[in-house]
Amino acid sequence: MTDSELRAYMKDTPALGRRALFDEYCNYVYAIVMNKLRSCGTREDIEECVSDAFADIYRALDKGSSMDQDLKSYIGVIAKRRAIDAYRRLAPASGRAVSIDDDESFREYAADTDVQKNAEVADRNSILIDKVKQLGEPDSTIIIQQYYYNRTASEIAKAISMTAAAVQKRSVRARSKLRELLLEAGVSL
Amino acid sequence: MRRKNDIFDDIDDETVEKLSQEFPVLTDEEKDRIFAMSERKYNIVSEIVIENDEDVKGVEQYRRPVWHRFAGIAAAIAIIAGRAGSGAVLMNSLKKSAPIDTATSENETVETTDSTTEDVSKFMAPAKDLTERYADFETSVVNHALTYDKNDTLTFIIERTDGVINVEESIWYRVVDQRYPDMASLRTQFEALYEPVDAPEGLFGGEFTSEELPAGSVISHEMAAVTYMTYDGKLYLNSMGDLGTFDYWINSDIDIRKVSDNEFYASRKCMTTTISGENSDKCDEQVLVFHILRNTRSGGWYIDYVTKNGEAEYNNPDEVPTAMSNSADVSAEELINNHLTFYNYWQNGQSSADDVDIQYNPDDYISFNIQRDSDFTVWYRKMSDYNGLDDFIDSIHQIYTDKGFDEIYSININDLYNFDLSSHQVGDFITEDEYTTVIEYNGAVYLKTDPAKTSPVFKYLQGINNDQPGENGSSRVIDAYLRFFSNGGYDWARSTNVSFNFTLDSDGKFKIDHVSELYSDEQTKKIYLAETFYGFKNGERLYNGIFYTDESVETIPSDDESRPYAVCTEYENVAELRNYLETYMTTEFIEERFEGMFEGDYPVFKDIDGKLYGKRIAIDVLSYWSESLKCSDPEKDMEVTDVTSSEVLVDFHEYAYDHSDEDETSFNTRMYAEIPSDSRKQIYKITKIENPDARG
Repeated sequence: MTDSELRAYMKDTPALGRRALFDEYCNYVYAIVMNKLRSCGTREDIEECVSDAFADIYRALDKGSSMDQDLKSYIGVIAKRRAIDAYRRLAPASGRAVSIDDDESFREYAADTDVQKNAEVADRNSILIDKVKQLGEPDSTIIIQQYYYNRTASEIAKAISMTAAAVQKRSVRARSKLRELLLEAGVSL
Repeated sequence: MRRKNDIFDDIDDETVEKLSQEFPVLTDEEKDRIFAMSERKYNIVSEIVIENDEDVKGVEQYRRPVWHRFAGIAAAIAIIAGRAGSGAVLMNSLKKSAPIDTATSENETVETTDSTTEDVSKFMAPAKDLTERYADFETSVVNHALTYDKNDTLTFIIERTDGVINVEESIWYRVVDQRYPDMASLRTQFEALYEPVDAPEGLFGGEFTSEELPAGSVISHEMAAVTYMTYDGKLYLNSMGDLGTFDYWINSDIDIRKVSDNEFYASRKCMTTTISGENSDKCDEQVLVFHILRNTRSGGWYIDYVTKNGEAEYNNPDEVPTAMSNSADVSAEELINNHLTFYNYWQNGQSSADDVDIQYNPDDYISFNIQRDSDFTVWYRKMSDYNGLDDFIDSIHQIYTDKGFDEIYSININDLYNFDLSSHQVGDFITEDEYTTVIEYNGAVYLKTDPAKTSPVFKYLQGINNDQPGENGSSRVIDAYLRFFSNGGYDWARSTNVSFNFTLDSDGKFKIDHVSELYSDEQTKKIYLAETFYGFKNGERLYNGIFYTDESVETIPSDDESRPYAVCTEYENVAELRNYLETYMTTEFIEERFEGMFEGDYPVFKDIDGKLYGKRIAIDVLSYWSESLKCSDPEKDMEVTDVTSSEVLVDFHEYAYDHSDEDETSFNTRMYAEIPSDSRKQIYKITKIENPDARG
């Protein structure tokens, strides 16, 4: 569904529209939130945060803001903002109360402006994803689900119709292979 | 919880996007769970916007409200969508239920009720005639039971609903019933029964040709729900859609209740095609109540509306209803809501057209120019739910008397017809005379935007306090409590009691004739104090770096390496912003509370190249308001105490919504303000704010 179709759908039948928007972007928002909270949040925290982000998104779209923006990037911004808020709350080091006029707390936003560093990170990640894909299925999925999405072996097993033991075995092998592939490409883990 | 050797420790946005696309992880069960959570949160946040207001659920208060047409039209749409049933039943949906005499409905005799001592036998003939013809119309026309040729069919594709994979077809049969050779004959039959009532939408469809709508074309759901249409000059019957529920009259008994020589109710018992429970042999018995009126011009009788299973509007058999009291009973609250919906839409339509909105919704705006001191561009906003001025005026007529409309909107309704600017090109110069509030342009209705109205105030019905009939039975006064809401946030102290006067209009229906808002002195004082407090809250927001900006204007790095300066589109320059704050707060208070807002080496706001810039935090203004402010009730959340003749103290009970724990918090804020020496100005200036138990 295109952005304008989604927007029209949300306008005409808001409840169905929200569901359609959710279905379209839930994996995206989940991935964004996961990226931020993987190290500090439980599965429940992450789901909470994703749902918070969607509530924000619905409200933002309701009031008609950012109508000309690419919906995906707009959603991305909201999700990221939510994730950062949650990170501040959940990460042990940032347990303190954060005030909105506290510049320090907005470093996360500012971090995106470091162009050179961003370019390096993007390059490294591009190689990483290429190499993960090079592992071939189901190993790529196993690695991503296990290490990006923090899924357990049994959850992954269910998703890809294998036994948990088999997933675990493949995971160990895949990770070792990935390390080699990355080293060859000049990226160290 | 943190994993060793986390290979996905530093993933950039683009990669996240790629991962989400190429390795989606959520199961259906997880999706359902998270979606349900998001819905719950969305609804909670929506609900706190307007406390306890069932009528304004959703976040429509934050956006340009979605326009819901009045109940009658909404009902018609619902019918088209759902095909609720027969023509007569459709008519019922357009009106509230008519009185039904429960006593007589259980009584199968034709005797009149005790209360009606007059002879009603003269009504029996028209009642029998109309109910028989009604039955005929229902069982043939409404129940799709005309003779048709199954071999002469038309097939269309119904537009797809997102998420539905199946292709749905709409199949139409050619009608070959000799009684009804064309659409006009159907209409004639309908009008003979219901004249002069309009036919319900969805029964008689439009006229099409194979050129404009070739067989196999995609048609809308609405069209696929219409019962009859004309295609290449021939009458076609839709194979789909619900049928009416009328089956046959159980007996010939008719119960009559006289209202006047020109008006009566007739009740008759029928069998329906609706099947009760699991027993497929047992259909329901129902009493249909017909409200029948005499056409004073032709002298004939017609059905005004039919009620089935209607709830009794009155239970006292001694009380003979009159059209006036009945009509007022069923429509007063609805009319108030219709008025408020229209009023809010109007307020919204008139609100200033900001560049961002115009840019995002270009189809909603047209502009013209006017020669004043210099060329001046005027913007009109489309009222997109109206098909031209006739439709617009018709909608107004459903709510207001001409006088009432004139009084509330300062426009003589008869003047509305005069301004069709379609002969102009958009952007043309128009005359001052043409620069009028409502115009028509290429068949659409537009409302003049008012640059001064930056924050429209919307009103919602909170409750009805008192309802009393007028002296002569043709008027009515209803006192209601309205809640006010402004996009900017606080405007709640203005919520007030309002008195609505209804009067019987020339079409025999009650309309709003006069509206007056009733402010006590105390309430007036609260309005100004609330405005003052809002000035402070606004200042606090700006000081925190949350403001509207133009993202196309580049930010400027600040010297102290903190947040960069972004252009602030809310005020022209520092002087204007300062002036705004000083309207509501003393200079001393501003300097103390908002230290460094304008002063120092690195002020929060400063003028750069003639524009106002501020150290902005990337938080949306409306999100900020939604989280930090909740409408309070001035009656219980605002206590005003005069300390001295020159100082007032106000205790606010504020509410906020905390997203982190999804909880509503409340806290008290005490405001001290100088009482204006000139009481006519009514502007209080804040000298001190105390937050004894503020969050954090």
